[in-house]
Amino acid sequence: MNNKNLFWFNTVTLVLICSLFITGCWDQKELQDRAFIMTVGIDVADEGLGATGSPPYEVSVQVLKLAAGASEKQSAQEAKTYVLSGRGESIFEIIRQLYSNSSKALWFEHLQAIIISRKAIEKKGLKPVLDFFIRDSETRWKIKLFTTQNKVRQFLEYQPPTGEAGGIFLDELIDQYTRNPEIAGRLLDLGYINLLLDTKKEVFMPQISMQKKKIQITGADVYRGNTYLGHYDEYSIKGQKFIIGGVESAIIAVPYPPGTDTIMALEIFKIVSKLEPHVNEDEIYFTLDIFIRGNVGEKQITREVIDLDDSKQIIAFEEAINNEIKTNIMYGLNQSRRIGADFLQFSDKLRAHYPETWARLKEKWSNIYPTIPLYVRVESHVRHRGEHL
Amino acid sequence: MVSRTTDSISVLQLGVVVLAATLGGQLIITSRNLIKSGGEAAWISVIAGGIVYGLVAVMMIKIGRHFPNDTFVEYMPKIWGKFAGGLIILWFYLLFIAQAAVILQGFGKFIKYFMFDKTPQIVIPATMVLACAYCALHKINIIVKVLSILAVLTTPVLGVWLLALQNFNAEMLLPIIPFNWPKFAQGLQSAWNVFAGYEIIMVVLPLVSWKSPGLSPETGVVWTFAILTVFFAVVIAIIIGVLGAEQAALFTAPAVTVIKGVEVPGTFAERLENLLMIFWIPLVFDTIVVFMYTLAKVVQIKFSLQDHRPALVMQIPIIFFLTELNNHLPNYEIASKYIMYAGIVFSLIVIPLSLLMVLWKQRSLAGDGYEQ
Repeated sequence: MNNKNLFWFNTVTLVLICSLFITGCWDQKELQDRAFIMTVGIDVADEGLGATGSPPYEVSVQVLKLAAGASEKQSAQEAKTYVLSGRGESIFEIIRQLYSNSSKALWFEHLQAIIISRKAIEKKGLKPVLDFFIRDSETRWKIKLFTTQNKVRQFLEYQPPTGEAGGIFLDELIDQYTRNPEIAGRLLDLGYINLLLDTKKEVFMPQISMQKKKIQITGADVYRGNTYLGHYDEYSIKGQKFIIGGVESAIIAVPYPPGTDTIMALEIFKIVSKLEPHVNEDEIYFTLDIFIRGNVGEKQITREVIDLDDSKQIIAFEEAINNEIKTNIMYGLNQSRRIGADFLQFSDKLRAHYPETWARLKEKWSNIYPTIPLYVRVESHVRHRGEHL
Repeated sequence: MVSRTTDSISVLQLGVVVLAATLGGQLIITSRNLIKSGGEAAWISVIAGGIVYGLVAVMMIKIGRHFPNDTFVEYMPKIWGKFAGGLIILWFYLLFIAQAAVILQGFGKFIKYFMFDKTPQIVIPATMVLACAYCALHKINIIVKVLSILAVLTTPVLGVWLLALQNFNAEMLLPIIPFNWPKFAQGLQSAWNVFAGYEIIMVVLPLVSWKSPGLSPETGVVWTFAILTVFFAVVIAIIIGVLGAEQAALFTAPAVTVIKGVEVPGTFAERLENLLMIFWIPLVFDTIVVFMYTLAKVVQIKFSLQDHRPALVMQIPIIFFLTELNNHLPNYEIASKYIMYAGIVFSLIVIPLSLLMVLWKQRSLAGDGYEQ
């Protein structure tokens, strides 16, 4: 065989070999053969005990309904999802049991939210409940977690008024934390909660409840292991987010002039928080410096009373905002101290900056934490008055 | 003696070969052990490892300069005698073939787990070995051209890791002081895994046209190690800064897990860890090609074969068999551990001692009035 023929022989052989690898793969599964799970709800049964002596899990999955050829009007009226439920000792096993109700493979790649009842966490522990989702490569890190005091299945059956699937509604609902600082949402997804659990830290999870047949986020529950420590209300969450630098945008409304019942609001668009530990011999304290920039967002007072052309008024308004934020921070801190959950990264800061002090105190940290002073300094700057004075 | 007329590469290409040999499987497969050993300061262990193994690489070149046309297969018996030299060659060969098997096994495991969970695992390393063997059948200058093209893929890989900076918390890297020396030493030990493969310098060095003016091989290797060290240290620091050292050690592949927390709204690729795995495939290909070529070259020179190709074809079933031997998780972990020890001893004891022996012999000859 001459060189030219050898070249063509090699080329054709290579192409033929390559074609073996493009015929498809073992993992091929058509879209219409998959059942997309949007939300998983985990609860424990009210009655009966499992083989381990504890009540069995009740797992519900919200499956996306893929309807071909439905008109837009029909599509808007029809439910987008349906719910399958099972009961057992292992979450993975229950999910496989659900195949007896589903003609399609249950597919967790697009799972948006997991709702766990407080009762399930107390009976089983959060780590065991989440283990399957952490171990499986199909599930994503950014799945949103919720807890509730109610039965879980009703949240999976809920049809959002916007017409979207329930899981997507929940995912987007929690993402509103960027606009509403009273929603706990930042770094509270499956991956990050698992990181906190790995280091045996307290975990806080957004709580949802059903009010007038509508889903609402109502603060957050705090857990250590499988112990429920307490509940943070919305105002407390906002205060704590100021401490850990978790506020991206906020509206701060204060009575202005101070002591009156008229309101002025600042729209915050930039916040920088700096929490620093200080150790002075046996004394430990923290300082928090917050720098805020924003615009006047609302003024319910006439121009004759408050003239925003007057820079003294602007400075006084900034001072009122500073005081309100300090009050909010101390409220959040006190709730955290009362519950005894150091979610404010005090221990992380101490470990990073004063490792020897931390090594000495870490065993008794839960007792020491509520007594550590925090000194707060807030500096807010108004950048714009808005379009109208 | 290796023919330089058809098999020749530049110093820059030597750098590409070393990059290809080290950038493949090692970081993703071994990041967990490195962080587990080194803790918060694992990235400092990587920097120290880069300096230490960079120095060993320079030592390899210094030895090579005394035997300009020989690979280590030819000069080790000259330095240590036929028996001890033969043992060192065998040590090198077994180290590389076992390392190739461990990388292929790890590659197969991760690709199956993260991308193709229904694909029989055996198919993944088997396909890779065959594809790599086809490339390694060629001469080094052709192989280097393929490696150079695929090495460009390193940039997007680093880019994917840099996206994780959105979740980075520098305080996770603290405390540095007081410095934890025992942890640092453990981290330094594990750092060999990250740089493993650079030893190919001893086989490809005679193929480098180093007599031409320009960059010396020593400078080329130092630059290569500087690039590798920065790359590895940045990635390890990102992993610790995002996950935390304690938590990262609890994940099978923290280098992949760290990407799972990245969210880039509006992009078509939502699961960036899959993107990382896709970019990783050609990097592993590069590494295995270099390993297979090196192993075949050792056999060719040792048994005075005309060509490296028969040896390369012969070793395909051996690599594949060893890969499958590691399929059971405990076997895989034991193999990884002992390969690391064998590699460390080879780098930190055999090479410096060989250099000392060469210098001692040279001094003895000079003392006797001989000139080199």
